[in-house]
Amino acid sequence: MKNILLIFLLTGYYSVFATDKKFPVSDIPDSMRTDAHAVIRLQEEKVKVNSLSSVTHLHHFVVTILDENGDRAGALIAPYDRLQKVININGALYDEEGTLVKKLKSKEIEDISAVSDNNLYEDSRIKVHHFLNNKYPYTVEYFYETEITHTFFFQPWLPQTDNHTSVQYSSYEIEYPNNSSLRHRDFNISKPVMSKMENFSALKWELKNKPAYKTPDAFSFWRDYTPAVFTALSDFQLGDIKGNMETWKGFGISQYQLWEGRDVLPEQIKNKVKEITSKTAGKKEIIKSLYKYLQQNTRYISIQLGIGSFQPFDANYVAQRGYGDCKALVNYMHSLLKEAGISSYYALVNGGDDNFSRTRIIEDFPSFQFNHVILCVPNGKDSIWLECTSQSLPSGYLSGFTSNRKALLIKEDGGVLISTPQYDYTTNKQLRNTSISLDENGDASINVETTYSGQMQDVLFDLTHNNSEEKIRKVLTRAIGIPSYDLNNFKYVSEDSGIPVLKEELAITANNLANVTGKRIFISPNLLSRYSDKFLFDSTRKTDFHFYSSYRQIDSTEILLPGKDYKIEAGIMPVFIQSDFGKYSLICSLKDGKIICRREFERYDAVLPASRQKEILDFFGKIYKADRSRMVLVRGGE
Amino acid sequence: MLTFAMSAFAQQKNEKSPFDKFGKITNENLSKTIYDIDSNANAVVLSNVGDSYLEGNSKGWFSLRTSVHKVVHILTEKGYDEASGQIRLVVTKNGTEKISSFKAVTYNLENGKIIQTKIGKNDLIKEQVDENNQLMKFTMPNVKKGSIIEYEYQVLSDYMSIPDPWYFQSTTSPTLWSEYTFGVPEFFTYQITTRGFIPLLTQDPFKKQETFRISESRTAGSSDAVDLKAEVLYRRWVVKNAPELKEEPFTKSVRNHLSRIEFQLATQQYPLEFRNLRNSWQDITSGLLESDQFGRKLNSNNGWMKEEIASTISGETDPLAKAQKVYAFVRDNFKTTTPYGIFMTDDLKNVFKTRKGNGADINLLLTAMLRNINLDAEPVLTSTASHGYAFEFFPMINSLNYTLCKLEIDGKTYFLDATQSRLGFGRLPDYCYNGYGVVVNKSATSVQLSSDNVTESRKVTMFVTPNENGYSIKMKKDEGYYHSFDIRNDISDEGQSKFIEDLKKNYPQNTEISDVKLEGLKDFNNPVEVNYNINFPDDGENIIYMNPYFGENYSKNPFASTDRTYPVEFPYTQDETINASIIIPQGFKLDELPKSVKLKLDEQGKSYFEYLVQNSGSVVNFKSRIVIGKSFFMPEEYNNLREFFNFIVKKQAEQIVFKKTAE
Repeated sequence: MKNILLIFLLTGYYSVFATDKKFPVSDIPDSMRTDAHAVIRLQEEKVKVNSLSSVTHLHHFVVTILDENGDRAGALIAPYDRLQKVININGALYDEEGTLVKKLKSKEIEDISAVSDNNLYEDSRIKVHHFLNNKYPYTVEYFYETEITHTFFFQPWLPQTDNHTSVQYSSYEIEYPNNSSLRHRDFNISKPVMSKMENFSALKWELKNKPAYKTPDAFSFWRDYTPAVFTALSDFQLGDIKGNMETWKGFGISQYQLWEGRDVLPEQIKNKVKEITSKTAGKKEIIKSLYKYLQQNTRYISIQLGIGSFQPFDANYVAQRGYGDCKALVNYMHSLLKEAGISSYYALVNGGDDNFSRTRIIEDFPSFQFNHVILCVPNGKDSIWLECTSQSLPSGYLSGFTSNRKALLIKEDGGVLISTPQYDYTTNKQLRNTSISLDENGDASINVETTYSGQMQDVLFDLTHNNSEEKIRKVLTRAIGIPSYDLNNFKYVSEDSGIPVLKEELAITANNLANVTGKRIFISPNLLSRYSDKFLFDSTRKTDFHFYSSYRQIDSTEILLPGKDYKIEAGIMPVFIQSDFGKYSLICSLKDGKIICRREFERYDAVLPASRQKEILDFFGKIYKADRSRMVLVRGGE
Repeated sequence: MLTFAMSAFAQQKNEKSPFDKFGKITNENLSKTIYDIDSNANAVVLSNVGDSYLEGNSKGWFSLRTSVHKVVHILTEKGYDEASGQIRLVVTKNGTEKISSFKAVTYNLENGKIIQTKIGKNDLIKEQVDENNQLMKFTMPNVKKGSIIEYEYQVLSDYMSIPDPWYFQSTTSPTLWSEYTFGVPEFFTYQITTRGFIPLLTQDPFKKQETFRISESRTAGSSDAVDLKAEVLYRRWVVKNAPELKEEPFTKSVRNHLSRIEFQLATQQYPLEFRNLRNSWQDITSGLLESDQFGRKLNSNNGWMKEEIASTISGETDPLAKAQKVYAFVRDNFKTTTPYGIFMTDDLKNVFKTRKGNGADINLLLTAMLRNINLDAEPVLTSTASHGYAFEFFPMINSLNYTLCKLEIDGKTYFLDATQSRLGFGRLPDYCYNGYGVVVNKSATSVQLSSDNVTESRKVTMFVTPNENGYSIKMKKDEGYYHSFDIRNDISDEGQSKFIEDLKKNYPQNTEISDVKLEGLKDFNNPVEVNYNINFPDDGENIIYMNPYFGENYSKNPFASTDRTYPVEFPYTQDETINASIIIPQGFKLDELPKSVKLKLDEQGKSYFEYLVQNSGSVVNFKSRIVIGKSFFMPEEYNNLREFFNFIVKKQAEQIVFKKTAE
């Protein structure tokens, strides 16, 4: 009797367990499976602002992994550092039917450093776990909590960061005390629902049934198609600093507190500044000399420890060690200038190559959106900008990493959003003269003289500046778009006249530049200035085209043929293309045994609607083709 | 007895590093701006001296104390990276490593005076990389162009049986002087091997009588201590003027060519109990066969797997067919955490149950399953390309990093790797073909996995037919096996539509690609066949220029550098054939045809390029073949190889010309 009861109980218990299936894969509609490697079944992000110095963030997500390429979507990656800690991690693995396979044991969680470069002193770490299951599909579920000790910024909510992951349901809720005010900025998502309680208010956003998608591939801007919510409190606290960031002015006031009083130089450096300024006349020249002194005596080492992620090491620290991160070096430069009686301002920016278009800040949403800091020295109507982490940039020039965008000046009386220098196509230039002498075998000796200026020289500037000849040669040996060549000679000369200019001379022997058959020569006259991006028409595209930088290329090419008796069998028709976002022309001719080509290409800053896709693709497609066009010449009169 | 693996030693009178003591930096050193060894160097290692010896510890055994003293001249800003360093320490339950001292100085010359800036042990920043690994990081203060930095530290390690290798050469800076001294008490012997192309100068060894105190705490407060007196033999190796070793393409691992010395504890003897710790591959494999972390359960009954094997091979009687089914079962149902590894992370049965593991878990399980159905399967250990070569004459378990399964059926040998989702039976990833491997059996049979024995062969066939809009090409590509493997992986990740998109981007904008069909995507044993049609519009000209490769040519010489200091290593040999049959458009006649040629890379014709083109009536037949018959080319052969590809690039650019006939 006892045994029977026991069996009955066990069966009963078992059946309860068995019906308690969670997230069976059969519940996923087909539309969520198309093009997806993983499906977010449920994600709930819940942020609770307890006070200005205490925030609890509850994370809960359930992801079904459809195939092995979805494995990465099923990983737990919980970052932490001295300002936030991760606690209460729980997790579970379910099979296709939704039966619990196993639960996460805390000893299985890895705790690893998130620092990869040996030049970095950082405290960022991650807790990582991965249920690597062999059988697809499977489902994982994780919970964890983050305890954050500041309200300076909140992680933006990005419910769909991977285009091969679909989202069945995702929500983000932020609860904050009624005596504070929360601001938000939403992209590609429906409006939040607001609820009010006695002491707290809450906003909640939801994303439902969002299929996997194709990333628009040309000139797209991520905020145009990725769902995203940015939130910020007006009153905030970071360490001992309290402030209000409802306006950039207020944001700047609090930032000023982080920087204030850290500009005291040791005596010997003060003397050094005196020594430099006594030998130099004129504000611009003094700035230049002190900037040079900075460049020669310091170097960049990333140091991000706790509050040090936002607050610079003081001037003395840099003076003692000769290194610092961007904040410390900007602060040091500021201190050197101050000693010379020149005032300057810290300028927060979001650095990054413009072409990736990830760097635009939301200008009317005062909040912490920056990853870098540079120095701005007011000087009449043209401020002088200094990138303090570089040992080689000319004084006053910003590369594509920080130019052409908004920066926040931090002044004693608050922040001001202003533009960093914008360089257009009259500055960003590549002017090239190529002369080619072709022999009977199709081999050629080639001399190229190119003058790069502004942002057109950024990449080469990095390569050629202070790099050994051997290293430059190694890069050049692979970089030039000629099928087979020897680089005989090269030379770079930098000119610093406000806007950097780099003059390049190359002497190349190409082994088979032209194809010479019995009576014909096949040659593509444009060797080095070929437009390289190819785009396919995307009928689903809805997002704008963003062209951020503006530049001009002019090429003059002369090809001396191995004889004067060649005539054109198939020539290159002149090409003229003009649009509001660029223009292009190519003209080639043959005269006295010489091919002469002139190519001009300009592209401008522009944001264009998706409706113009055909025209845009056509524009670049024609250029792509024209840049590769070929000439066929025949010998003698036939 | 010390065993010498290579005889690249030259005896030399004892010489000392010019920086044999800390703080010997002079004005003259700091004034130097250029070094003969490499006038382009961003930094030059002036001296790098390492010194290791054993001492008794309080855990009842011996520890290894290693000091490193390094002097580097920073010459340009790009050399600043040399001014930061990190010391890796392993700290586990089984043993720890710690830094017992650290000091460092930056020297700058200011107005003719040497200015020193010092840092010490407190300036080290600890980064806990993961559970067992720590990095102690430092960066030198006040580094400028022309600074000399000097640092010295000592690490005390419980891991005395395999000291860290000593690198005499670096991939970032030339090294003027590098030396390593190793002191070994007479009751131990270490096996030594050297690598790289630079000869080591051995200095006169010397002997010293020393006492080793070994203690072990028994209970709280009491401990047993033993004093061992022994003669210690100090040996010293020096390399002078080692250039920076630069990474070139077609290299399996640049590490293979770095000058270095490695040690492994071989025996212990009187007054310790005699033990042969590691002196042959047989010892290693026998040890592995008995180890819980490797082979102990391979021969067990393993009854727990029988049922699933039976259902896997149900109905099959042919041994090969059975093996293929078992292989596919493991490959398709087990998750590989990492394909690398020579030790199991779990018990065989648990691996089977949890369906996941590292390379050793997976391929040992495969071996056990094959044995379970009475097939002749054995584990094999090898070293993958990026891990460097392993050598038969230097038995060292650390030189191996990968586990495979070897299967013999009817006198035929198959190597199996079940860690790769889309790999076929009897195929290995290309990185496995890296020379020596050892079969884990009693006799430690050696195997050679040579890239010479693997051929990537590819065949493209094209039918070019004129039509009313221009001409159309029917493409059939039988891709090489490894390229097929990549295609399968890419398609699984990004889908066929992405594959087709990328394919389209290879052709001019005005061409139309249609009917793309991939065959054999799921048949992992064979290569993939890619079929599609291309439509080239006619531009209405009177002359048609046609390159018969239609994009299947080399557009650039893969060997860009003019010279090469170490061998070219291809992952496999190659055989590529392109065929085209071109129908001359109506109203056109052939005007110019490229010449047929054959170019041999070597006298025997093991590697060659062949270009055959022929006109018969209204058809032009074209055939091109490139055979690279070996995978390894010495630096002396580099020029030839480069010229060979120059010729190919040039020849492949040639055009066939058709002209409109007068009407």
